[in-house]
Amino acid sequence: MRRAGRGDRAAASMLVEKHTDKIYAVCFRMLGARHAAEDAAQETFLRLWRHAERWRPQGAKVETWLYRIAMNVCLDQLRKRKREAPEEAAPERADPAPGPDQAYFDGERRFAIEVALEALPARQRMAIILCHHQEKTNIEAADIMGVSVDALESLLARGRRGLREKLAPMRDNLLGRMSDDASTRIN
Amino acid sequence: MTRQPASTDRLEAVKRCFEAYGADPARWPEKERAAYGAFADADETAQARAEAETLDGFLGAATAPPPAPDALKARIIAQYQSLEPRLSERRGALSAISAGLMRFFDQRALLPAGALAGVAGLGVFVGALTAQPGVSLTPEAEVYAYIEDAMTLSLLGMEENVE
Repeated sequence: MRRAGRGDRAAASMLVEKHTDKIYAVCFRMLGARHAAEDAAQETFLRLWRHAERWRPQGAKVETWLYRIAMNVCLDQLRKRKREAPEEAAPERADPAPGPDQAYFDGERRFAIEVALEALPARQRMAIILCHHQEKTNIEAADIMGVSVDALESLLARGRRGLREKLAPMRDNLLGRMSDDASTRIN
Repeated sequence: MTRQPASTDRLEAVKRCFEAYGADPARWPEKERAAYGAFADADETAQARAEAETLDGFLGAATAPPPAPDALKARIIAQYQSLEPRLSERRGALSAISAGLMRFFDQRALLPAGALAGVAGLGVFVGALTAQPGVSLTPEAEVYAYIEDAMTLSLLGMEENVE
Protein backbone atom coordinates (compact mmCIF):
# COMPACT_ATOMS: atom_id res chain seq x y z
CA MET A 1 0.00 0.00 0.00
CA ARG A 2 2.77 2.44 0.89
CA ARG A 3 4.51 1.54 -2.36
CA ALA A 4 1.32 2.27 -4.27
CA GLY A 5 1.15 5.59 -2.44
CA ARG A 6 4.62 6.41 -3.68
CA GLY A 7 3.62 5.81 -7.28
CA ASP A 8 4.63 2.15 -7.69
CA ARG A 9 2.31 0.91 -10.43
CA ALA A 10 3.18 -2.74 -9.89
CA ALA A 11 2.16 -2.44 -6.25
CA ALA A 12 -1.09 -0.74 -7.27
CA SER A 13 -1.80 -3.56 -9.74
CA MET A 14 -1.22 -6.13 -7.01
CA LEU A 15 -3.72 -4.36 -4.76
CA VAL A 16 -6.26 -4.31 -7.56
CA GLU A 17 -5.77 -8.02 -8.33
CA LYS A 18 -6.02 -8.96 -4.68
CA HIS A 19 -9.05 -6.95 -3.63
CA THR A 20 -11.24 -6.06 -6.63
CA ASP A 21 -13.31 -9.27 -6.70
CA LYS A 22 -14.22 -8.98 -3.02
CA ILE A 23 -15.03 -5.28 -3.24
CA TYR A 24 -17.03 -5.77 -6.44
CA ALA A 25 -18.94 -8.64 -4.82
CA VAL A 26 -19.96 -6.60 -1.79
CA CYS A 27 -21.00 -3.68 -4.03
CA PHE A 28 -22.97 -6.05 -6.26
CA ARG A 29 -24.82 -7.50 -3.31
CA MET A 30 -25.54 -4.06 -1.87
CA LEU A 31 -26.59 -2.35 -5.09
CA GLY A 32 -28.03 -5.24 -7.06
CA ALA A 33 -26.81 -4.37 -10.54
CA ARG A 34 -23.56 -4.88 -12.35
CA HIS A 35 -23.19 -1.36 -13.65
CA ALA A 36 -23.82 0.25 -10.26
CA ALA A 37 -21.46 -2.23 -8.60
CA GLU A 38 -18.71 -1.43 -11.11
CA ASP A 39 -19.12 2.30 -10.52
CA ALA A 40 -19.02 1.79 -6.75
CA ALA A 41 -15.93 -0.44 -6.89
CA GLN A 42 -14.15 2.09 -9.10
CA GLU A 43 -15.07 4.96 -6.78
CA THR A 44 -13.81 2.89 -3.83
CA PHE A 45 -10.39 2.49 -5.39
CA LEU A 46 -10.31 6.14 -6.48
CA ARG A 47 -10.73 7.15 -2.84
CA LEU A 48 -8.08 4.63 -1.87
CA TRP A 49 -5.56 6.06 -4.34
CA ARG A 50 -6.23 9.56 -3.07
CA HIS A 51 -5.30 8.49 0.43
CA ALA A 52 -2.68 5.88 -0.42
CA GLU A 53 0.36 8.05 0.21
CA ARG A 54 -0.83 8.84 3.73
CA TRP A 55 -1.63 5.28 4.70
CA ARG A 56 0.28 3.96 7.70
CA PRO A 57 0.63 0.25 8.46
CA GLN A 58 -0.30 0.63 12.14
CA GLY A 59 -3.84 1.55 11.17
CA ALA A 60 -6.56 -0.71 9.81
CA LYS A 61 -5.73 -3.45 7.31
CA VAL A 62 -5.98 -2.36 3.68
CA GLU A 63 -8.84 -4.80 3.14
CA THR A 64 -10.78 -3.43 6.11
CA TRP A 65 -10.14 0.08 4.85
CA LEU A 66 -11.39 -0.84 1.39
CA TYR A 67 -14.52 -2.50 2.73
CA ARG A 68 -15.18 0.55 4.85
CA ILE A 69 -14.86 2.87 1.87
CA ALA A 70 -17.01 0.54 -0.26
CA MET A 71 -19.68 0.52 2.41
CA ASN A 72 -19.77 4.34 2.46
CA VAL A 73 -19.84 4.53 -1.34
CA CYS A 74 -22.75 2.05 -1.49
CA LEU A 75 -24.68 3.85 1.24
CA ASP A 76 -24.15 7.14 -0.65
CA GLN A 77 -25.44 5.56 -3.86
CA LEU A 78 -28.47 4.11 -2.10
CA ARG A 79 -29.27 7.46 -0.50
CA LYS A 80 -28.90 9.18 -3.87
CA ARG A 81 -31.11 6.57 -5.50
CA LYS A 82 -33.77 7.10 -2.84
CA ARG A 83 -33.57 10.89 -3.20
CA GLU A 84 -33.90 10.76 -6.96
CA ALA A 85 -36.66 8.16 -7.14
CA PRO A 86 -38.22 7.69 -3.70
CA GLU A 87 -41.24 5.78 -4.99
CA GLU A 88 -39.37 3.70 -7.49
CA ALA A 89 -38.64 0.09 -6.68
CA ALA A 90 -35.04 -1.07 -6.51
CA PRO A 91 -33.61 -1.63 -10.00
CA GLU A 92 -34.05 -5.05 -11.42
CA ARG A 93 -31.05 -7.25 -10.85
CA ALA A 94 -29.08 -8.19 -13.86
CA ASP A 95 -28.78 -11.93 -14.29
CA PRO A 96 -25.19 -12.98 -13.72
CA ALA A 97 -23.62 -15.59 -15.91
CA PRO A 98 -24.81 -18.98 -14.64
CA GLY A 99 -22.31 -20.79 -12.49
CA PRO A 100 -22.31 -24.33 -11.14
CA ASP A 101 -24.08 -23.29 -7.93
CA GLN A 102 -26.91 -21.59 -9.73
CA ALA A 103 -27.74 -24.19 -12.32
CA TYR A 104 -30.49 -25.65 -10.15
CA PHE A 105 -31.73 -22.45 -8.58
CA ASP A 106 -34.88 -21.26 -10.18
CA GLY A 107 -35.01 -17.56 -11.10
CA GLU A 108 -38.29 -16.85 -9.37
CA ARG A 109 -37.03 -18.01 -5.99
CA ARG A 110 -33.75 -16.15 -6.39
CA PHE A 111 -35.66 -13.02 -7.28
CA ALA A 112 -37.92 -13.29 -4.21
CA ILE A 113 -34.93 -13.67 -1.91
CA GLU A 114 -33.11 -10.75 -3.47
CA VAL A 115 -36.13 -8.49 -3.27
CA ALA A 116 -36.45 -9.35 0.42
CA LEU A 117 -32.75 -8.63 0.97
CA GLU A 118 -32.97 -5.32 -0.86
CA ALA A 119 -35.94 -4.28 1.23
CA LEU A 120 -33.88 -4.51 4.42
CA PRO A 121 -32.40 -1.32 5.87
CA ALA A 122 -29.00 -0.82 4.24
CA ARG A 123 -26.91 -1.35 7.37
CA GLN A 124 -28.70 -4.57 8.28
CA ARG A 125 -28.12 -5.78 4.74
CA MET A 126 -24.46 -4.81 4.92
CA ALA A 127 -24.03 -6.70 8.20
CA ILE A 128 -25.54 -9.85 6.67
CA ILE A 129 -23.47 -9.53 3.51
CA LEU A 130 -20.24 -9.09 5.46
CA CYS A 131 -20.83 -11.94 7.91
CA HIS A 132 -22.74 -14.42 5.80
CA HIS A 133 -21.56 -13.90 2.24
CA GLN A 134 -18.10 -12.38 2.73
CA GLU A 135 -17.48 -14.59 5.77
CA LYS A 136 -16.01 -11.85 7.93
CA THR A 137 -15.77 -12.46 11.65
CA ASN A 138 -18.01 -10.39 13.89
CA ILE A 139 -14.98 -8.35 14.97
CA GLU A 140 -13.91 -7.64 11.38
CA ALA A 141 -17.43 -6.78 10.29
CA ALA A 142 -17.94 -4.49 13.28
CA ASP A 143 -14.65 -2.76 12.50
CA ILE A 144 -15.62 -2.25 8.86
CA MET A 145 -19.00 -0.85 9.82
CA GLY A 146 -17.59 1.29 12.62
CA VAL A 147 -19.88 -0.18 15.27
CA SER A 148 -19.40 -2.27 18.40
CA VAL A 149 -19.65 -6.07 18.20
CA ASP A 150 -22.90 -5.91 20.19
CA ALA A 151 -24.34 -3.41 17.74
CA LEU A 152 -23.28 -5.62 14.84
CA GLU A 153 -24.95 -8.61 16.44
CA SER A 154 -28.11 -6.60 16.84
CA LEU A 155 -28.00 -5.52 13.17
CA LEU A 156 -27.54 -9.15 12.14
CA ALA A 157 -30.37 -10.43 14.31
CA ARG A 158 -32.75 -7.69 13.19
CA GLY A 159 -31.76 -8.20 9.56
CA ARG A 160 -32.34 -11.95 9.69
CA ARG A 161 -35.62 -11.47 11.53
CA GLY A 162 -36.71 -8.94 8.90
CA LEU A 163 -35.81 -11.33 6.10
CA ARG A 164 -37.73 -14.13 7.74
CA GLU A 165 -40.80 -11.93 8.04
CA LYS A 166 -40.57 -10.73 4.45
CA LEU A 167 -40.19 -14.26 3.15
CA ALA A 168 -42.82 -15.79 5.43
CA PRO A 169 -45.73 -15.51 2.96
CA MET A 170 -43.81 -17.50 0.34
CA ARG A 171 -41.85 -19.67 2.73
CA ASP A 172 -43.58 -22.98 1.94
CA ASN A 173 -43.35 -22.36 -1.75
CA LEU A 174 -39.66 -21.50 -1.50
CA LEU A 175 -38.97 -24.52 0.70
CA GLY A 176 -40.90 -26.80 -1.67
CA ARG A 177 -38.80 -25.60 -4.56
CA MET A 178 -35.64 -26.11 -2.57
CA SER A 179 -36.60 -29.73 -1.77
CA ASP A 180 -37.51 -30.28 -5.44
CA ASP A 181 -34.07 -29.03 -6.39
CA ALA A 182 -32.45 -31.26 -3.82
CA SER A 183 -34.34 -34.35 -5.00
CA THR A 184 -33.55 -33.50 -8.63
CA ARG A 185 -29.90 -33.34 -7.70
CA ILE A 186 -30.06 -36.67 -5.89
CA ASN A 187 -31.88 -38.36 -8.79
CA MET B 1 -20.19 -39.79 26.99
CA THR B 2 -23.13 -38.05 28.58
CA ARG B 3 -24.11 -34.69 27.30
CA GLN B 4 -23.97 -31.84 29.79
CA PRO B 5 -27.48 -30.47 30.34
CA ALA B 6 -27.93 -27.02 28.91
CA SER B 7 -28.81 -24.33 31.41
CA THR B 8 -31.38 -21.67 30.58
CA ASP B 9 -28.59 -19.14 30.11
CA ARG B 10 -26.77 -21.40 27.70
CA LEU B 11 -29.90 -22.10 25.72
CA GLU B 12 -30.60 -18.39 25.46
CA ALA B 13 -27.05 -17.78 24.28
CA VAL B 14 -27.37 -20.53 21.66
CA LYS B 15 -30.65 -19.07 20.42
CA ARG B 16 -29.02 -15.65 20.21
CA CYS B 17 -26.24 -17.13 18.07
CA PHE B 18 -28.78 -18.81 15.78
CA GLU B 19 -30.62 -15.53 15.39
CA ALA B 20 -27.55 -13.46 14.56
CA TYR B 21 -25.10 -15.86 12.91
CA GLY B 22 -27.19 -18.74 11.60
CA ALA B 23 -27.49 -22.44 12.28
CA ASP B 24 -23.91 -23.49 11.64
CA PRO B 25 -21.68 -23.00 14.72
CA ALA B 26 -18.73 -22.73 12.31
CA ARG B 27 -20.09 -19.28 11.44
CA TRP B 28 -20.37 -18.20 15.07
CA PRO B 29 -17.73 -16.03 16.74
CA GLU B 30 -14.95 -18.15 18.20
CA LYS B 31 -15.81 -17.31 21.79
CA GLU B 32 -19.47 -18.27 21.42
CA ARG B 33 -18.57 -21.40 19.46
CA ALA B 34 -16.25 -22.55 22.22
CA ALA B 35 -18.76 -21.79 24.95
CA TYR B 36 -22.02 -22.89 23.39
CA GLY B 37 -21.27 -24.85 20.20
CA ALA B 38 -21.77 -28.15 22.01
CA PHE B 39 -25.37 -27.17 22.79
CA ALA B 40 -26.30 -26.23 19.26
CA ASP B 41 -28.19 -29.50 18.77
CA ALA B 42 -30.05 -29.41 22.09
CA ASP B 43 -33.69 -30.43 21.78
CA GLU B 44 -34.79 -27.19 23.38
CA THR B 45 -33.31 -25.13 20.56
CA ALA B 46 -34.63 -27.30 17.71
CA GLN B 47 -37.12 -24.74 16.49
CA ALA B 48 -34.65 -21.85 16.53
CA ARG B 49 -32.11 -24.06 14.74
CA ALA B 50 -34.63 -25.07 12.07
CA GLU B 51 -35.56 -21.42 11.44
CA ALA B 52 -31.92 -20.45 11.19
CA GLU B 53 -31.21 -23.33 8.80
CA THR B 54 -34.05 -22.28 6.54
CA LEU B 55 -32.86 -18.70 6.44
CA ASP B 56 -29.27 -19.80 5.78
CA GLY B 57 -30.61 -21.81 2.85
CA PHE B 58 -32.41 -18.77 1.46
CA LEU B 59 -29.35 -16.58 1.85
CA GLY B 60 -27.25 -19.20 0.11
CA ALA B 61 -29.71 -19.24 -2.77
CA ALA B 62 -29.28 -15.52 -3.51
CA THR B 63 -27.40 -14.73 -6.67
CA ALA B 64 -23.67 -15.16 -6.34
CA PRO B 65 -21.96 -12.07 -7.72
CA PRO B 66 -20.00 -12.67 -10.91
CA PRO B 67 -16.25 -12.09 -10.72
CA ALA B 68 -15.18 -8.51 -11.26
CA PRO B 69 -14.84 -7.89 -15.00
CA ASP B 70 -11.29 -7.51 -16.32
CA ALA B 71 -12.37 -4.23 -17.89
CA LEU B 72 -13.18 -2.89 -14.41
CA LYS B 73 -9.72 -3.82 -13.14
CA ALA B 74 -8.18 -2.16 -16.19
CA ARG B 75 -10.19 1.02 -15.52
CA ILE B 76 -9.07 1.07 -11.89
CA ILE B 77 -5.43 0.72 -12.90
CA ALA B 78 -5.83 3.45 -15.53
CA GLN B 79 -7.39 5.65 -12.89
CA TYR B 80 -4.37 5.13 -10.64
CA GLN B 81 -2.00 5.94 -13.47
CA SER B 82 -3.86 9.14 -14.31
CA LEU B 83 -3.93 10.19 -10.68
CA GLU B 84 -0.30 9.51 -9.88
CA PRO B 85 1.16 12.70 -11.49
CA ARG B 86 -1.46 14.76 -9.65
CA LEU B 87 -0.46 13.17 -6.38
CA SER B 88 3.12 14.27 -7.07
CA GLU B 89 1.88 17.78 -7.85
CA ARG B 90 -0.02 17.81 -4.58
CA ARG B 91 3.07 16.75 -2.70
CA GLY B 92 5.00 19.57 -4.43
CA ALA B 93 2.31 22.13 -3.68
CA LEU B 94 2.18 21.08 -0.05
CA SER B 95 5.95 21.43 0.35
CA ALA B 96 5.97 24.85 -1.32
CA ILE B 97 3.14 26.20 0.81
CA SER B 98 4.60 24.77 3.99
CA ALA B 99 7.96 26.38 3.22
CA GLY B 100 6.25 29.68 2.44
CA LEU B 101 4.34 29.62 5.70
CA MET B 102 7.51 28.83 7.63
CA ARG B 103 9.21 31.85 6.12
CA PHE B 104 6.21 34.11 6.65
CA PHE B 105 5.74 33.18 10.28
CA ASP B 106 9.36 33.59 11.09
CA GLN B 107 8.90 33.51 14.85
CA ARG B 108 8.20 29.95 15.89
CA ALA B 109 5.76 31.03 18.60
CA LEU B 110 3.44 32.39 15.96
CA LEU B 111 3.66 29.35 13.71
CA PRO B 112 0.80 27.24 15.10
CA ALA B 113 -1.60 30.19 15.26
CA GLY B 114 -0.67 31.38 11.80
CA ALA B 115 -0.87 27.93 10.27
CA LEU B 116 -4.22 27.30 11.88
CA ALA B 117 -5.48 30.60 10.52
CA GLY B 118 -4.27 29.56 7.07
CA VAL B 119 -5.97 26.21 7.39
CA ALA B 120 -9.18 27.91 8.51
CA GLY B 121 -9.02 30.22 5.49
CA LEU B 122 -8.55 27.30 3.14
CA GLY B 123 -11.42 25.53 4.89
CA VAL B 124 -13.75 28.48 4.25
CA PHE B 125 -12.65 28.55 0.61
CA VAL B 126 -13.17 24.83 0.07
CA GLY B 127 -16.39 24.86 2.09
CA ALA B 128 -17.78 27.61 -0.12
CA LEU B 129 -16.97 25.57 -3.20
CA THR B 130 -18.69 22.51 -1.86
CA ALA B 131 -21.70 24.22 -0.28
CA GLN B 132 -24.07 23.05 -2.99
CA PRO B 133 -24.81 19.33 -3.14
CA GLY B 134 -23.69 17.71 -6.35
CA VAL B 135 -20.98 20.31 -7.08
CA SER B 136 -17.68 18.52 -7.30
CA LEU B 137 -14.32 20.04 -6.51
CA THR B 138 -12.20 21.47 -9.26
CA PRO B 139 -8.65 20.06 -9.46
CA GLU B 140 -7.36 23.27 -7.83
CA ALA B 141 -9.84 22.99 -4.99
CA GLU B 142 -8.90 19.36 -4.53
CA VAL B 143 -5.29 20.45 -4.04
CA TYR B 144 -6.39 23.03 -1.46
CA ALA B 145 -8.55 20.45 0.26
CA TYR B 146 -5.67 18.03 0.33
CA ILE B 147 -3.31 20.64 1.73
CA GLU B 148 -5.81 21.66 4.36
CA ASP B 149 -6.34 18.06 5.34
CA ALA B 150 -2.63 17.29 5.51
CA MET B 151 -1.77 20.45 7.42
CA THR B 152 -4.52 19.88 9.94
CA LEU B 153 -3.38 16.34 10.58
CA SER B 154 0.22 17.43 10.79
CA LEU B 155 -0.57 20.21 13.26
CA LEU B 156 -2.62 17.89 15.38
CA GLY B 157 0.12 15.23 15.23
CA MET B 158 -2.39 12.71 13.91
CA GLU B 159 -1.89 9.78 11.59
CA GLU B 160 -4.77 9.33 9.26
CA ASN B 161 -5.83 5.74 8.90
CA VAL B 162 -9.49 5.93 8.16
CA GLU B 163 -11.54 7.15 5.25
